[in-house]
Amino acid sequence: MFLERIKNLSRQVSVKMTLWNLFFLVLSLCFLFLVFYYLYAQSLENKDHEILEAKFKEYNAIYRMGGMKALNDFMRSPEISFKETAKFFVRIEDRDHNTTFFQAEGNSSIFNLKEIEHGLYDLNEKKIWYYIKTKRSEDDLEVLSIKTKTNEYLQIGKTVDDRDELISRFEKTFVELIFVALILGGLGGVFLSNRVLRPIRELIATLKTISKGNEEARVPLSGNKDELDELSLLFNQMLDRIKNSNLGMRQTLDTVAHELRTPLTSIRGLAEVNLQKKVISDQDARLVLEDCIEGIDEILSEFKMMTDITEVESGLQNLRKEEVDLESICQDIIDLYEIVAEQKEITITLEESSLKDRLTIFVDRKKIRQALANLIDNAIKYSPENSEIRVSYYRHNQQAVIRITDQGMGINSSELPHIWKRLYRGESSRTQKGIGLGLSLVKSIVEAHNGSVDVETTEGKGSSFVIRLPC
Amino acid sequence: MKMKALIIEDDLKILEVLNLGLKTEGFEVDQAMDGNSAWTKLKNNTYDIIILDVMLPEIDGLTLLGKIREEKIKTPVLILSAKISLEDRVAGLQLGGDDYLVKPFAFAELLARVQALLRRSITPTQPEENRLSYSDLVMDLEKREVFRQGKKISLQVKEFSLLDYFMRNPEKVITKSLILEKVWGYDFDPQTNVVDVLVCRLRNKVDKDFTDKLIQTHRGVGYVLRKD
Repeated sequence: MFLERIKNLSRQVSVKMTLWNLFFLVLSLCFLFLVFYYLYAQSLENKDHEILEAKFKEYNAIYRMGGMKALNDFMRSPEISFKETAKFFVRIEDRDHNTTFFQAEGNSSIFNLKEIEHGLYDLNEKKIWYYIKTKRSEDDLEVLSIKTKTNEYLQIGKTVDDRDELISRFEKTFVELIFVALILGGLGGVFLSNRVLRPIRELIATLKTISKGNEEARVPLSGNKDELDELSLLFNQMLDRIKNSNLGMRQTLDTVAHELRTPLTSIRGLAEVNLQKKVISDQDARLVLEDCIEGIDEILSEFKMMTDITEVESGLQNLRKEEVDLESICQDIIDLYEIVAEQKEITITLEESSLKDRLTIFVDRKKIRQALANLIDNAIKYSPENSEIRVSYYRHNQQAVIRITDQGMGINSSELPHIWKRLYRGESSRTQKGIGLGLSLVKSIVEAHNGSVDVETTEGKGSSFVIRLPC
Repeated sequence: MKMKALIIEDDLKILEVLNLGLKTEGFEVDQAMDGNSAWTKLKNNTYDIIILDVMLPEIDGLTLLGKIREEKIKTPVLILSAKISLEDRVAGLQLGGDDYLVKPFAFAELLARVQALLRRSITPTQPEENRLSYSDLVMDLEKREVFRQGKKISLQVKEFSLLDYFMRNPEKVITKSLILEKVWGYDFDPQTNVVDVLVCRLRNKVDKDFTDKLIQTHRGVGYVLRKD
């Protein structure tokens, strides 16, 4: 149980972050310690050298005035040993390295002559520094050795216990410092990582709520305007979009279900009523079956339109783009609808001005043809008898503009904002067949091509549908 | 000689409909409900036409199609699919399918396509006749003139090509989507009654002044050129 918790904990990003944080903190502290330690030790050594040089001058002066005896007396005078913590000694060596004089300040017995003699060897340099290690590290010696004019050697040494004490104090302080830094760093790391990761935790919490079915849940924003806030914001926007498209889909589905329910009921009813007849004539049976097929085909064509739209909108089906000549595609559509238009004595014309220049666009031929077909189909539906539908296209600002103008009743300004909506049917179109998908299919096809579609309309005079496509 | 068809389809109801339909039309029908048993049948028998559903258990339809063509079985294949995506259609045809039909479809349409494929496989290059005739209706393809009972009927381009198609497929039900494809070259449904309008116009010229009506409507299915 406990182990499991530890395991889980170690997997958490915040714990990882804190540990890494601490690791680097300690690493940099150790580096700092090494640098300071080196510099500090160096400066202490330099100081000792200065002290020894000063002592040398002092002893030298005494020696010159009173010879060995004076030096001996001076060194042994009791008050001198209280003056400083460090102990000093003087040793004089003749040419053959025999000790001719050895005396410690205050007659201290801590110096071991053998160790000193042992620690030194051939002296060719005029002045040389030694460090002599002894059994106890605080008794280690810093020694200055000078070759005199008479080829004797004068050695002055001091213990390093004062230095040692400072160094050990430094080390102790450092260890304490590391402990404090570890605690502070750990706390800081936990605090920081918690703070940084909070938006992500909130994101996770929101996701969990949503997956439980609450679509309204959103990630709270901190208002810091930092990257994490931006992440939350983008996430919320994405959720909104998904919700809206879900809502749209649901509404469409509802409407479609509603629209289909009526014809389905009538087909089912027709079949059922006739099935209940005890005897049904061949002719009647044929009639009923024909009615059924017609009804089903109607439902299928509406259904197909729906799937066409969702397919284009979702981008599930890639556009198969090719170079398409606008004249040929417009002519195709006119060709198709001509005979339907003729029934209402409507003429469809491709404007001459458009024919002057060849204009090609890079589009999915079938889809664009479908969009144009829908617009022409609409134009014919809403045009009065004996009128004209004009199709034109031209290039304008890097765009190919296709314009389909009718002399129909136009669109009421109150209906204008709604005509592109799925399943919207204006008052005047309620009597027409279909469930109001045509224009939204046009819109989704054109927009899938990065184009736009608009309508310019004057009530009572007619409408112009304008498709703009990049070219 | 009876034409032999193999239907490979895992939906029992569709299988029944196709089976019944094709048998009524005089086919000898064999059927398989999954890719493996279809493959066994294909290896042991020869067929004149294969109707192949894309979604199949075990071996899917397109893979099976690939195998069929790999084995150099040249029987024409009509692919059935519930998907409308163009990619599938292209993939199917590239793998060696001869035609493609999206569900739901009218049986008449399936039949028309099957018959077209069979004609194609029997006589790959049909000699072009310059004269078509049915009952008292005569069509001169060279001069592009139509006569009924010796009386000349003047037709517009679209009307002519529609009648041309009818006369090449007499007494066969022709669906609206087939007409759209043959007359206008459209292979999608533009959701318009243009076919009805065209047929209506052709009728006015061909049938109106005569007692025998040749162009008949099969409600819910399509049209047929037939003399009662």
